[in-house]
Amino acid sequence: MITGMASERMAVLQGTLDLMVLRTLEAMGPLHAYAIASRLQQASSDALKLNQGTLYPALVRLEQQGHIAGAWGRSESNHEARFYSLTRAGARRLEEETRRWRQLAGMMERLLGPVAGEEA
Amino acid sequence: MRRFWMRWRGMLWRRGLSEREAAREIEAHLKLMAADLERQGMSPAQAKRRAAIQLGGAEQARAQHRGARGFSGLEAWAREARQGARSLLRAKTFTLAAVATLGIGIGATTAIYSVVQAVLLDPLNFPQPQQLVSLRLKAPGNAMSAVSGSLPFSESLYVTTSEHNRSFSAMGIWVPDSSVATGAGEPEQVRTVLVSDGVLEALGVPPRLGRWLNAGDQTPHAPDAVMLSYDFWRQHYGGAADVVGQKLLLDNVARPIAGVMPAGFKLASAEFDVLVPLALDRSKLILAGFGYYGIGRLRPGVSVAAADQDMGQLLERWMDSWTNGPGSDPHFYTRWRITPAFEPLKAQVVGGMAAALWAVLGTIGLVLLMACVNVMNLFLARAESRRRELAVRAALGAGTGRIVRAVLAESFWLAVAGGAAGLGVAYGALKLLGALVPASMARLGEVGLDGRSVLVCAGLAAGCALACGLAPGLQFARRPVGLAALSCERTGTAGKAQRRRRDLLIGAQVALALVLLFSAGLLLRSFAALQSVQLGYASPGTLQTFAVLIRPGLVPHPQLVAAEHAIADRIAAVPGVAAVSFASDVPMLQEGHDWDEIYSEHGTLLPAGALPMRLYNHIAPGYFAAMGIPLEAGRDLSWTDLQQNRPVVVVSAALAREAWGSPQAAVGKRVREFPHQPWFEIVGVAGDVRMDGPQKPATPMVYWPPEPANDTPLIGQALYVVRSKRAGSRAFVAELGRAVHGVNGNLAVAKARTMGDLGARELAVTSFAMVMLALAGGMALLLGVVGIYGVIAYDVARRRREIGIRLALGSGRGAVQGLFVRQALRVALAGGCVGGVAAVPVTLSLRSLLYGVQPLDGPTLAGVVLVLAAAVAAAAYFPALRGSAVSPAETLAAE
Repeated sequence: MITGMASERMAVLQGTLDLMVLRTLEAMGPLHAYAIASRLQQASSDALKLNQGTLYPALVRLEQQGHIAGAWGRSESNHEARFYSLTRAGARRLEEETRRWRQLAGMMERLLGPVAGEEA
Repeated sequence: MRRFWMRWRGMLWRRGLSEREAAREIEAHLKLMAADLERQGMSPAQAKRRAAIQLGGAEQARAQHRGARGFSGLEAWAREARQGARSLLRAKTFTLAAVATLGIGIGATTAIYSVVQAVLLDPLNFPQPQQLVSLRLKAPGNAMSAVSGSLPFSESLYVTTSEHNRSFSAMGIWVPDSSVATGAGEPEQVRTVLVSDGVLEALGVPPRLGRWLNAGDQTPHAPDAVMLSYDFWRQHYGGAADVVGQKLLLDNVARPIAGVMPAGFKLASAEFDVLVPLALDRSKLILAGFGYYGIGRLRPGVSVAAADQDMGQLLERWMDSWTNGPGSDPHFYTRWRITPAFEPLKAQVVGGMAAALWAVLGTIGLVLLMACVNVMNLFLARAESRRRELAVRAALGAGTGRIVRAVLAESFWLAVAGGAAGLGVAYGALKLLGALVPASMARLGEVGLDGRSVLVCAGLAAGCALACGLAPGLQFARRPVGLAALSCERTGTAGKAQRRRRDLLIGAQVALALVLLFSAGLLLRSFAALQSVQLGYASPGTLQTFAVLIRPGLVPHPQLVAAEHAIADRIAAVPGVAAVSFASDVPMLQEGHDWDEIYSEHGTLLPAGALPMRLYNHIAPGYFAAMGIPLEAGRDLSWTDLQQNRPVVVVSAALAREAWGSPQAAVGKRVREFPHQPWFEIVGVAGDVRMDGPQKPATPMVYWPPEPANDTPLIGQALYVVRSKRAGSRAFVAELGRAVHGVNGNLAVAKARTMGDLGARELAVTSFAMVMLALAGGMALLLGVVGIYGVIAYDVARRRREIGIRLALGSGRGAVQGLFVRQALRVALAGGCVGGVAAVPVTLSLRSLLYGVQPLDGPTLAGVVLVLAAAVAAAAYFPALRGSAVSPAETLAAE
């Protein structure tokens, strides 16, 4: 039985990373990839097990779908970086996904009951 | 499919850019992170390492970046291609079968295309060849022309036409002949062509050396310059440039060499060694003497039809200008109804080849189509059996595009291998063709694999690859496989769409095979009919013929026939000779036969309105015995007749029946060739002979003695006929040559051939088409059987469970086998009906090649249907037999 720090951290649920990225961009405005990754770590209080490399496929996918738009710029530390911002389509998608997530979460909550998770 | 294509195009377009972008972005990411870590107190080197680890390795990140963009361009295709090659190498049987099938189909089509291109598509090797016309005439009112289909030019007709026509920038007449060239070494018979002024000008090919023969060379009794062919020049003069002006001893006359024609030059289709001016003596021309080919070059803008009309108007003028001698009616030829039927020179050169070649190309194309269908079928079957693998791949995330690509990549390699194999097959086939069909078929010497053939081959291969790979590929694109589909796929019977597809394939193969086999069957029957035709003389393979040319001056007139007789005696002493004689004409002579008038003293020789034109031959005694022609009445000519100058003649049975009712009635009757000649008494009637091979009927014929009572020796070239079992062997021909030289060292032996060779040449086009169609039909049958076998075997394998249930429920094995055989036959019947309808236009187009059988011959069709039905039944029975051998308990337990 192998236990350790790593297993305590949550793996990103498939499909939720897109939602997280969109929400981050909505809340913080245009960000570069590193900033998005940092922000996600921070928001989850480092509980999220996010390989920073896996962020890129999500960014590329979102950009190809037209939900975010990337543009080259300079960071506050004056480094060259690509900044992503939410598009109108992205905002709509975020709204939709949020509603769906809330439904699912609410349903899960009701299903699992008040004491689930308190065990042990 | 469209989306797939757009993505792939987009990838190609954006690939370079996005790859650079990604690298740049990841670079930026690393810097930002490192800067952050440094702020937290790390050393720059540490920070950099740490950042790289966090990002999971820049290279990996880049790959993920790339992966997210879908498959990426050429690189992915290259990978797919490598994988396809590997998977093909693993499936050896499949690959071998597919490559062999495609290779044969592509190779055969490429080979025949090369022939079609060289013979039919490429222009003739003359400047502006479209202006060249063959001056063909028709004369339906003349019995001989009506049979041969055309009337040659006469010298006087040429003079009138060349002086007064408005259609041609140049025109002339020519005729192949032969002469004896003496000089260093043995006397040699050479092929000459006599040309009038205008022939070389019309053809327009400049000489390689010296000059053309010109009007000055055409004056009778002039120095008589000649031109040499390139090959003759190389062989006899070693290609020396100073040959112009030298003398060539031709028939004992020294003639200055005016020039040399370039390599490959032929006079229309005739090959020659020496060109000799015709040198017409206008003071001696008469209307008659129809024995020349005419050739003309149209003025720019003049059509063939306009030239026909122009020529038609000159015919009256011709009859007004010349005569056949005192007392003859110059307008006698009106009754012949001479009409010009000029045609492009190419049509004359190509002759009967066109129909045969197109038919063969069409059929070979059908075979290629069948090969494609078969390979497509193999692919489909393979794809079906890989469904599980593909479904797993799809479930693991391989998109439809990837699966389509995998199939296409395999078909790409098959096309490459099939194309390469096809080139090899085409090369071999053309070599074989060159060996099987010697130069007697027009322009076949020009055939070769050139750039265009290779291009056609590559195009065919690419087309086949697309056709073979796309169908299964598309099937998956349209109906993506999921894991869910698998569970029912495994045990169920074939779906409706699948079964329809399989039925379509069987039906198409049967239809194609039927068309090809029916065509081949008709030609086979034609060939058999031609072989069994009674030619009227002994077995052609035992008759050796050769020519001895005795030009005036070599042997004094009075001794000419005696000299020829002496040669015959010498030959009779050669071991193995059963009989020997000579004549001025033999059956199947390529140069054609002579005909002239014949008048009879009594009897209705000619039906009213017909003209007294019959073939004639001058024969030595013993000719009928040597040829094996039976005498139906009376006797042969004898040497005593000749020595005593008795006016005696032999006629053919057809002529005897036509004029006097029976061979017996003809004996004792008298005939003559010209109105003012003495009468000749018929002493014998010979059996009928098909002079132009089995395809043409036997024509009435008159056999005159060698010198019919006047002083003109009529046999300048004696054609010897030797009957011997040794006919055709090289040693025999050499011995004959020595016998001839034993009489006179200056004589040459030429054109040594057996009558069988001559006959084979006559049948070259028919036998070429037959061999090709039989090959195509055989391949079609084989492909069809293999295809049907594969389909049924696969079907049986799929339906093991169903078979097991049937057997468990008490069905007999025979009934189960019958199920599959009946199913195949039912589909084959439908295909056969379609094929039967499709065969109608095909066989009708073969009409000109058929002999003694109708294009829609019932028995042939019935035979083909029987063969096909048996083949289909067998192809279905064997897999069914194996399939029904399963143990029902085992099959059902396996589930």
